[in-house]
Amino acid sequence: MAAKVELTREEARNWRLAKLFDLRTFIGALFVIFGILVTIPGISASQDAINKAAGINLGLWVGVIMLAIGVFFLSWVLLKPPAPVTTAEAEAARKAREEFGTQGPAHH
Amino acid sequence: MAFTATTFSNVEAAAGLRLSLNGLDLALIVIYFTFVIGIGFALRRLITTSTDFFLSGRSLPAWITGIAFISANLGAIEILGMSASGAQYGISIVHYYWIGAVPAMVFLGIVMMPFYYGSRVRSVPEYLHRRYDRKTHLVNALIFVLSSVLIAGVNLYALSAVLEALLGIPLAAAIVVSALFVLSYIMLGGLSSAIYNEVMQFFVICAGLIPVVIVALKESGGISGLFAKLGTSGHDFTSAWGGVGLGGHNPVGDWISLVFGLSFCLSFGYWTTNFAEVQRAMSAKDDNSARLTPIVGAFPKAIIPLGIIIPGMAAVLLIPGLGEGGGLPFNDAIPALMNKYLPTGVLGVAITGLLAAFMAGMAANVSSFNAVWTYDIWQIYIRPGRPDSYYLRVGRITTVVGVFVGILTAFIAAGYNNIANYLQTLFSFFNVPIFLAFIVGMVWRKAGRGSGFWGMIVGTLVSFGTWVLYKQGVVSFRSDLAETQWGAIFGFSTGLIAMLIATIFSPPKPISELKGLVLGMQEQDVQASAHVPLYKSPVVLGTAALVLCALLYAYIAVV
Repeated sequence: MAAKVELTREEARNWRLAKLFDLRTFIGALFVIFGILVTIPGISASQDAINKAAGINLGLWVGVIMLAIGVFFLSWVLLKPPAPVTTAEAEAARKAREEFGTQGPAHH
Repeated sequence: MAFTATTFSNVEAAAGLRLSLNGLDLALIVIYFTFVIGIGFALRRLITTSTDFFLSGRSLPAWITGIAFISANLGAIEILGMSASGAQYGISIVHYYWIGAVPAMVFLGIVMMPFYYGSRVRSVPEYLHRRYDRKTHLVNALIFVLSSVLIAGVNLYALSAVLEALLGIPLAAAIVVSALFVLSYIMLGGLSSAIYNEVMQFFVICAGLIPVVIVALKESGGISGLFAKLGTSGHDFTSAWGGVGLGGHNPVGDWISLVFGLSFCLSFGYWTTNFAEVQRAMSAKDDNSARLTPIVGAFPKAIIPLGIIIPGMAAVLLIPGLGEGGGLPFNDAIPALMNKYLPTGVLGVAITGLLAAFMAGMAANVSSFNAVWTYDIWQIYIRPGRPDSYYLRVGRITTVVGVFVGILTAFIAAGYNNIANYLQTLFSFFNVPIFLAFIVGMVWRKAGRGSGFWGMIVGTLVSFGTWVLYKQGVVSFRSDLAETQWGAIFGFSTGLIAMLIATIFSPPKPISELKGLVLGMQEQDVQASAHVPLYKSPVVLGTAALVLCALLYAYIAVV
């Protein structure tokens, strides 16, 4: 952010929530959990499991790659968090969305 | 049976697929759906703080919105349907992508988007209302409602088929269980978590699908090995443009039906007028981003067939009895490959991806059904002028009704061995006439007030009539897919004639009412598009997407 904006306490709390509930946080967390759970059987993969997947230790490969993607998304949201939003801006955006969003077409 | 369940000896399952998941796989599924529900609660909390959670979405780069655009469509249609078609018809199915979806998305971005964005209409029905009249609007809304519950049924069927294979319960019970599950998911999470789920599901489905592609290709000796082994299995199974002459045997169609039916009528019709797709592009932050959204989406769209059609073809080789009497239906190609080759853990990820994709598809159709029914039909034609809370209640009830109608239509979808054929049949009835009214209204300013209505009515009836005659054996086409293409061509051309005749009898709209709606009168946001760098130019990127398709055609021809 180029210009520093003074945030009220409520706005600061909303900003923390916005970072926590950013889509990238969810994807990152999900992939880290999935990555770990898939990697574990991959490390100790039996010969049967490897044979099943045409001789590739898929669990290890997929697990590690998912883990890496998860870490990527988490570091992305940490390094480039969403911009803070003031209440006035949020209000204006909400109004705009209400007019444009789910109200359906305006008929003349 | 091609494969044996490791944990159960299931005698009854001789005709069905039985997935062998263990505790870890099931745990992954549970974790995913806990996430989805958690997101629903989290976003609800954000709403109460009145912070606009969509603003955090705005900090996402264009490639994420492009993914959302693609994954709105990457449901049952793609994963089960197109791989089923690959198994049934072979490589020619790539036409649905490389002369179908990709050019249509580029056309949407370059040509159509300025109309949508510039005229400030919010939906396809609204455009038709302003361009033509009330009758046109009503028939469009009714067609849309009908098609969205039918397509919701396809997604519900796909979800149930996986659930059936997962739990070993009869399909009818699986359909009801899935429907209740989707209903509680929509009620809990709402539309906002559905959008999050769409993007998340895209990454999960990739994590499950890519390993299947790699293993299936390794087992069959790469693409060239696969083509060599399948080369004997019938006419033009491994050649996209082989046998497309008028007397040829290419199972997908001849060149006329491919170019005019598949590409122009069906694909352009689907991608340029589809409510869900167009609205995602329209919610972009400026004119150029709106135009770029479908074009960015066109690049993954060009690659996707390699991950869906090729494994479908490989399944013919690797899953004995697929599509034959007593064997698995073509729809099971991908789940059967996953079950056969993926180890514990990876299998759980893959099945999670499938379930999420089908649920997202069902939810998207039910919610768009809901919006059009409540705001375009109920509010305008049945009970106008009530307070907003009243329509909110109507919307809730409509969701429940929509899910239950979806249960009924799921049984129709279950009757098709290949759901992609069923979907293309629906598109030829419903999307093509809407596209006709749209494109004629856009380029021909004299098209009369009432002509849109007659074009849609006649087009739908003729497409439907062609299908009935085909099913009765009165007329014949080389395949079910070829019927949908010719049905689309007949519907489009007779609808066009109906529009011309209707224009003679109904007066054109005054020029003042057509501002921003017709070619030559569009209100383009010139300033926004004029000074974009080359790598953000819709024309440059769109051309690149088309070149990519040409290269891919060349690749599969020489491999």
